[in-house]
Amino acid sequence: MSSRWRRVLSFIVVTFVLIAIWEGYKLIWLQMGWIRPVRPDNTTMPHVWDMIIELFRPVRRGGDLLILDLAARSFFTLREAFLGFVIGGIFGFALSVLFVRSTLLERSFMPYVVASQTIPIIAIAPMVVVWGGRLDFPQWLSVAVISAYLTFFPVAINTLRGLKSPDPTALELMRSYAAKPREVLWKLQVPSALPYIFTALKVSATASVIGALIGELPAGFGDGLGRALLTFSQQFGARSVKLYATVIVTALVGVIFVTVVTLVERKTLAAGSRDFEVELMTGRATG
Amino acid sequence: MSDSPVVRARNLGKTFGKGSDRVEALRGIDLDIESGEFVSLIGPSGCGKSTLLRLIGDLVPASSGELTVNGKSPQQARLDRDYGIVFQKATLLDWRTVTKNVELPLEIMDEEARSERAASMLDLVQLSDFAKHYPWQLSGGMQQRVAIARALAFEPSLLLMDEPFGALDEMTRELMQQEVLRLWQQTHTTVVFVTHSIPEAVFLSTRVIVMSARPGRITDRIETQLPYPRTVDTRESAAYYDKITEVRESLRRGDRQ
Amino acid sequence: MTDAKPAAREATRTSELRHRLRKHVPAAVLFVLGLVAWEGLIRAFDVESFVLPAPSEIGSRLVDQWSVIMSAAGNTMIEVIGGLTAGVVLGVTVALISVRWEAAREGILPFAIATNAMPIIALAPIANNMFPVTSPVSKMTVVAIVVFFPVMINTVRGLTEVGTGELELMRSFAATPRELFTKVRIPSALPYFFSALKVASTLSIIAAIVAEYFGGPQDVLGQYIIAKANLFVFPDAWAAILVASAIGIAFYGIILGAERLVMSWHVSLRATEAG
Repeated sequence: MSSRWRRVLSFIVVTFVLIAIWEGYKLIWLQMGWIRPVRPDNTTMPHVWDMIIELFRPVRRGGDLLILDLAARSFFTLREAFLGFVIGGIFGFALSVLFVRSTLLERSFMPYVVASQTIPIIAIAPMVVVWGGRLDFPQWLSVAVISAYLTFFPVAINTLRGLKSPDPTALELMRSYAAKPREVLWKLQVPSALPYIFTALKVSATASVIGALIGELPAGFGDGLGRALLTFSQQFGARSVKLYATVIVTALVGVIFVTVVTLVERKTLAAGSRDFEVELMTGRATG
Repeated sequence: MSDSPVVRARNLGKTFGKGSDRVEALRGIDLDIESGEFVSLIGPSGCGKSTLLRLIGDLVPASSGELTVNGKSPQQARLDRDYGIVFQKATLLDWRTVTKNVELPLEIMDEEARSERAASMLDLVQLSDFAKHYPWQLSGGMQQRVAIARALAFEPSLLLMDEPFGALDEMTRELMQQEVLRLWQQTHTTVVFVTHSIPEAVFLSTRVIVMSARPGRITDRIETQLPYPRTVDTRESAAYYDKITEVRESLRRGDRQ
Repeated sequence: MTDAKPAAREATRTSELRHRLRKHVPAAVLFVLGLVAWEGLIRAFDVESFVLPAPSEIGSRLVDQWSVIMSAAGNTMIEVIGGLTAGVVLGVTVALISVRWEAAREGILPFAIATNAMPIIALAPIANNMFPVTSPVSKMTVVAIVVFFPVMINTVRGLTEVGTGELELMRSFAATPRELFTKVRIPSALPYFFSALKVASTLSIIAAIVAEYFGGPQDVLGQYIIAKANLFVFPDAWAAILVASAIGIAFYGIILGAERLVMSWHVSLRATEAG
């Protein structure tokens, strides 16, 4: 347990160091009158405390506090992200089960699964919303689909690796029991794949939030964090702190989602203490 | 033959862990190994034979007692590169060719004539044809031969071997045993050999050190007294079988204590 | 158990070629079938181009808009390559530092992991505002940050995941920590590094386009796609999307090629096993 506290502590320390660098940069650059590479003025680089304080100011004249507004938006975005997370997770899992059963299917479709992730989702997003509209989807469902698009890939790749991970001798053992393919899947392959699946879910958690945010941008509908990011980005010259504050909140939303998934992982995988956090990065591509 | 032993241990002990998790791997080890000997350490799992080898090689520090290697502390002997070691896993570096693998210690010691030495070592283990190959292209036995070539590359006076043939099949193992004896007689190195195979210990060594577990200690020292060179005929001689029986009974006695 | 047989390697080379072909044929067949089906279905159901254009229409628009799209792609590539280089260099440097100084690693690694959980998309508007929005630097910053984390984390992992066997071996040679680093850690980190590079290559293109979405000069892929999409000229948008995708695949392929060159010895790239 102390290693977990050590992590929290080092996180806090590094955060403070970064804040110190930020403020230090401002101080020194202002004194010296330098403007490259980033201007140290209060619009381009507001003070960190100003960003925090802004959360407790009204969004607009007579409106709610920014933090309340952002909280509501966070819930909205998280709902879409969670839905995308679930849809993408199930789809990714189904894909990997299919691939582990049939090498032909894997060889045929895998290159396209990988290639699908090279298509900039932000470009497809408006079209997905149009298609969704055609099929009478509510807009949040279209966003969830976009979110699922980013989520399914890490789940598919990592689950496949996990399903393939048992020793050949373990498979031979199941064969000697005349086990049906379904039994082999659920009694051997899926349990072996759990650590891999959870690693992927952590990456997917982040991806689903990113997907939801991206989905909200073109749809232009006003209830999520994506909209806030866009609006405050346009208002940067007038009041930049709003954007910074929103970015901080957005970052927290991502971290919270991943933390929740991690906690579920800890509960489910009682045994096994590999440092899956480090495996986070290797989950996103083949090979 | 010099007077002072190559390896000298007095009341050597090693404990792992703390508190209730303490494990006494070795207790009261007294051992002298003379230059030119081929000594095997044999015993059941947990008797500390591998630990003892690692103490000699300064890969693990002793907890109590004295240990000198070539008259120096094990650490000094290691820094002076007095010994070469071969593990159960060949541990060749995947990204280096066979030749480059053998040259590895020579690079670290900044030896000038690296490639010549490596070539002559490979010649010694009869793998010159595979100089440019990569480890994954060789069989297990060949990989171990490369590991042995690497261990002897800088001509140490002491060779430590930790169950080097454990992962090989019986026929390869017998061939490798023949190889090691040939190298030993050609290079006059002192060898300390850890094994759990009684026939292997008897076939190779001048002396067999019998150990027992919980805690690890030496229970017997048996001279093999079989003539060299040892060949296939040796394996079929009555004296060989008698020695094996002697060692086996010593092990069982040690177990009962 | 076999010894390596030089003569037999000739025979294995042809079977290796056949094996490689067999691996790729199903996907190639699917590609052709997919294209045909796509075109067929669009025509059969008379789908409007703003829902999903037919491949033939996209193809003709691509030819028509070729110079515009290529120019935009070129500018986007500048952002991608700049950001990729910066991110990789930074990631490797920080990784090397954090392996050398244990204390640094304790602090940096958890922070890196937590930070990677943040949606990078939030950085795009900030970068666009910190740096002039028309300058490629603003996009390069986003790309660099997105690339930095997988590269750093994977490189650290590769540098530290050295087995006890290798460590004992080097210790028996009385090797210095630096020799251990150069002769063992760095070569064994290469597979992890390339793995990260593959992730980074595809991420970098997406990141650049997302950053472009939040603002930028007209002559970049992101702005081109959004502009066309807003005008409902979807075939053009699709043409540009496919170009972006093709670039991503090309990048991935380049890295695969480099990997094969540098790491011909690695498990995942071996043609045949012996023994």
